[in-house]
Amino acid sequence: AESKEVLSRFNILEERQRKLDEARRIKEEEEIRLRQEKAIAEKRAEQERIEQEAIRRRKEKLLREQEAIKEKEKKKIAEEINAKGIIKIDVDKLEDLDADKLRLMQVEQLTKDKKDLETKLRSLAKKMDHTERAYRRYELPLLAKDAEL
Amino acid sequence: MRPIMLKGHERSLTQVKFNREGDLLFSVAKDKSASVWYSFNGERLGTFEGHIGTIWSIDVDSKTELAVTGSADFSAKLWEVNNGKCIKTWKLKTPAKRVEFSPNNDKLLIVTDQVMGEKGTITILPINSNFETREEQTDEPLLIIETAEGAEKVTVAGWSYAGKYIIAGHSNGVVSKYDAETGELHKTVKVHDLTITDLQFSQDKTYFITSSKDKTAHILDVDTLTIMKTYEADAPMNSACITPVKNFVILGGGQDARDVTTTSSKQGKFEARFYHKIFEDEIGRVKGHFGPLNYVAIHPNGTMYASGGEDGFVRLHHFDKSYYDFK
Amino acid sequence: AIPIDDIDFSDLEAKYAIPEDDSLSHFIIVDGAPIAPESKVAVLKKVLTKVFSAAGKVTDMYMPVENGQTKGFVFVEFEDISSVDIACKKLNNKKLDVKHTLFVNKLSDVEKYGVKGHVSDEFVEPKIEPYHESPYLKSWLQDYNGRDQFVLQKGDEVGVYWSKNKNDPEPAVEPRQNWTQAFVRFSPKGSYLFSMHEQGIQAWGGPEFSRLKRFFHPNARLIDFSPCENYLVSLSPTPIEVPAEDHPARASFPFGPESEGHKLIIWDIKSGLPTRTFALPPNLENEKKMVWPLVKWSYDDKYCARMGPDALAVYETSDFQLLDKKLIKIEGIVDFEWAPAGVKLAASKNKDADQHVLTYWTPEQVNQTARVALMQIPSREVIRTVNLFQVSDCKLHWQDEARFLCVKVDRHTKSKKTIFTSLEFFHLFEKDIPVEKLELKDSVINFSWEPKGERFVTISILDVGGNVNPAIARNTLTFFGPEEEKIKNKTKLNIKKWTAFASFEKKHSNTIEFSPKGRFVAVATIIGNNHGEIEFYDLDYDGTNKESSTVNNTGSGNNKYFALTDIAWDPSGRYLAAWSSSWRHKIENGYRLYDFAGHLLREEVIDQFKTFYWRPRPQSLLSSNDRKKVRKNLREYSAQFEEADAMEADVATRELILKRRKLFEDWNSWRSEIEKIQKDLGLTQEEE
Repeated sequence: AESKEVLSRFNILEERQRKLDEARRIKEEEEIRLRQEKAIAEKRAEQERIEQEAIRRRKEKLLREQEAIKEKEKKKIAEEINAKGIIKIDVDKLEDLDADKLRLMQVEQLTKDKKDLETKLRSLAKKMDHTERAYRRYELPLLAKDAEL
Repeated sequence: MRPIMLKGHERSLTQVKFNREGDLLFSVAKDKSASVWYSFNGERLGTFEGHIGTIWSIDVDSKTELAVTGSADFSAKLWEVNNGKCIKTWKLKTPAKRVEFSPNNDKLLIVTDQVMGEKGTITILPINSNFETREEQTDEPLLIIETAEGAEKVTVAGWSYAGKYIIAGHSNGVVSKYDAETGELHKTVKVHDLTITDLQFSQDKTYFITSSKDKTAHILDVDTLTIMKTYEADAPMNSACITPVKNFVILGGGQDARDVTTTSSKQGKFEARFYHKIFEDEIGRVKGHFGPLNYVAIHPNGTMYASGGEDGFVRLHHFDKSYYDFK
Repeated sequence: AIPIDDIDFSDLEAKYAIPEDDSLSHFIIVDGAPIAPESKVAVLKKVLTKVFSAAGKVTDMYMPVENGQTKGFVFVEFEDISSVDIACKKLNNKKLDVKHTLFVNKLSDVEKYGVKGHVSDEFVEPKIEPYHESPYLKSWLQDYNGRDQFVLQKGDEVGVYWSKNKNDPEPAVEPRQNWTQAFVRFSPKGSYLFSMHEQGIQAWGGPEFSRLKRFFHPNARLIDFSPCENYLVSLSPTPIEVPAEDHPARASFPFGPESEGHKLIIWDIKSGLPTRTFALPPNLENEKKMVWPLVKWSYDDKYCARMGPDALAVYETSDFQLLDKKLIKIEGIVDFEWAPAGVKLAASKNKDADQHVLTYWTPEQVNQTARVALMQIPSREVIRTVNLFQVSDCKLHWQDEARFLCVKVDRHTKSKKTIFTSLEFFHLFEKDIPVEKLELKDSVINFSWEPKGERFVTISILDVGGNVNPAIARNTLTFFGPEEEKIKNKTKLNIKKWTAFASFEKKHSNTIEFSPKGRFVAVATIIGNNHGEIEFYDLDYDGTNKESSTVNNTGSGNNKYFALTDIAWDPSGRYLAAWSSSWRHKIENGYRLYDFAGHLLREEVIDQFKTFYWRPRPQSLLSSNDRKKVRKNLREYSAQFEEADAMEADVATRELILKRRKLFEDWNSWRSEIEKIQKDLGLTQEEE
């Protein structure tokens, strides 16, 4: 009977141990799963962050590029205006001027150019006219002499 | 101000005319019907139906009661303006080219064309304008004026001040003047090199303007038939009128379609031309028509003018402020 | 005023009749006699009496003297009337010596036609000159305001006007009806105005545009002049018919029997006499469209030349005989052109002497390529030739100072389907006359040198073979300028190479007119699909740097003028006239005046307007020193001109105001008169 009892206790112990082991195993597995899940989540978050960062960078880059283009354009217009040499714009200090303003300046410039050309032509016309008339007047006494021949 | 386009005629306009008050505009065309329009908005009031050929001319009496039309269908018709009813048809030997009431509405002149061996005439008929009995009209002319010697056929004619004289324009550029009572020829004067296309009087009918295919227009004095003014255009002219209030004349015309070498409307000169009546200078042009202008008429108060074109449109131009400000 | 209504030559027919016997019929009048001091009169009379005695007994002779000199004409009285006829027949055109040729006419003729304003009719004009102080032919240059003249031909009326730019032109003489039966032409230096008539050509000139000479050439259709305006060339479809030997007109008929059947005449303008007549070359007899001019002249009038089949005939104008009495054989010659100025040939012994040079070209022939050659005259030496391949046509373009010749060679591709152009430049003033070639992709349809310049302008089109829509603008306008070639080898001379420095595509333009002073050029589209337009270009856009090779389409200078038929610069290059001629079409005839930059100054629309014509001017008498002086004092002149212009403008405005005021008053006075009559008659519009 004792042996039976012993056996039974042993069995109970064994059973208990088995159950304990089982419980520990489950717990461990659970822990591993949780850990894994956490790792995945963390990894995903990290990836997302990186992606966000990339998007942000791209956007920033684009913006920078756009700014550069604008600047370049502004500079180009300004240089064009400067090339005409009537009004001077500091190419390195265009912060307070946007392209539209510059374009307006350019239109003004063209109008001015046209006006200047017009003024130039008018004064040239006068010069040509007066020179020709002066030659002809100076020629009069020579012609009078020629008429007597 | 934007012009009002009166669309209703299907073919070339032949004449447009305002009534005495200027609230109505009468128009005739080669499409056999006459139209009446409100001048302030261009709405059509009605039509006179009955002719079976091109209507060459229209006139309305000074009370806006009766209208008369002359047609290529060898007839002239008398109409009641308010209901469009035809109350008389005069049968003629040739087409009627011009019709006009005398200033006090008691007579009517009809210029009959010289075709098919028939002599052209200016036929004067009495008009019974009595409201009650006006459907009774006689066929008997008071007077028939035959073409003066040395002049070719009459193309246009009208009544002078007080209905005293009849002034006619001829196809060889001659202007002739007759006593409206007796038909006696007073005078003929060669004014144009080519056919006279229109003859319209000043408001007081003491002087008149003629237009011609010879690219000019003249103002002549009724009493002496002296050329007072000359307006030179660069295309044949079909019509001319004298503006009241302002010292302008308006000429209309243009190269005939068959003479225009290309289709460009710019080359046809289809513009109404404004000249200074006294200085004779061209002041400006109003574009719009796609063909020659066949007739120009001025509102009796000088507030607008109408032009009838070969293109089938009537254009009604109200003058804007700049017109009144000019000079 | 001169009667213009009937300036036909009908009196010439009267001339053929025997003159009536009257008191003058014993006289002849002789012109062309020596002008000698009074002291020589007796000797001269003796000589002339001897000459005229050949016709009969001379009873008297009168030789007018003025300021101690004889006037070159003589009245001779014969005892017998018959001697008068004999003298006219035998002694007219008699050479007294090398310098003097006598012109003999009956005094009765002169009296008959010379009075009452009927200027005489003779072919031999000098005889009437005694009655007229011959007018100064350059009188128009003496205008105090230095204005230019132009002709306006409207309908049957021809008028010569002073240009007043934007103001109404001022008639220089009363405009004349039927002054010409076709067109009028100025001689190249503007001294004469020629009019065309059924019986011939008339020359007019002097301050009143009086009739100077008549050139009897019935139905003459085309005329041309030598560059120094010594000679007139006329062509008529009607051959000359010389009257029979016994015809009374024969004595004074200007052409001898050798001229029978001839159609082309070269006249000496001053004497009014024919110098030489020619038959039309047989190959041109049946041509519908006449090649003109048929006679081309060296720059100084010393030589002229005509082209015949396979030959060139060069004449010396001293006697109008063939140079060396023989033709120059040139197999296949198609065209030739004289150098427009004297050429200083580097190879010549006398390097500074101006030489006469002409160029011609011949097409591809058996065993020979097409060829352009330069020939020196009178030596007939060919001084340069260039062989050309695949040539379909050549055009010879001399630069006006003859420094360069550009031959525009239209070449066909091997397939002969398309045409492209190459330009061959001959450098006349360089040693050995180097030739530069410029090959282009396009076919050049118009070429123009800048006067006194080294630049040129072309209008070209890419030939794609086959038809293209003419409404699409496909022409290209290109401006070329010289580029100095880098000196690689010191022995090699600097040869100019031309490169395009500006070009404008998608144009309809078809006409290039350079200002006679260079720099400015008008490029026009003339009657092409309604695109009539003039563009004005400035080749020295900057205005500061002469060498800068920029071109500017002078902003304001784009002018639509859809009816445009012709354009022409004034002689000074300040103004451009553009017009629409009723000879070409009947639309919007009239003219416009622009300044060189394309500002419209004036426009007149005139029915039946035919032509606008600037009067050419001769070269100025000023030396370069004179010019320098003037330019130095320009400010003073400017002040004067400014003031004069302001006054002129004031006058114009005032005149307009006064004119309008008068018109207004006239009108109002007429109206009040009419109103008074109406009132007196008791009439108003509505009553009766």
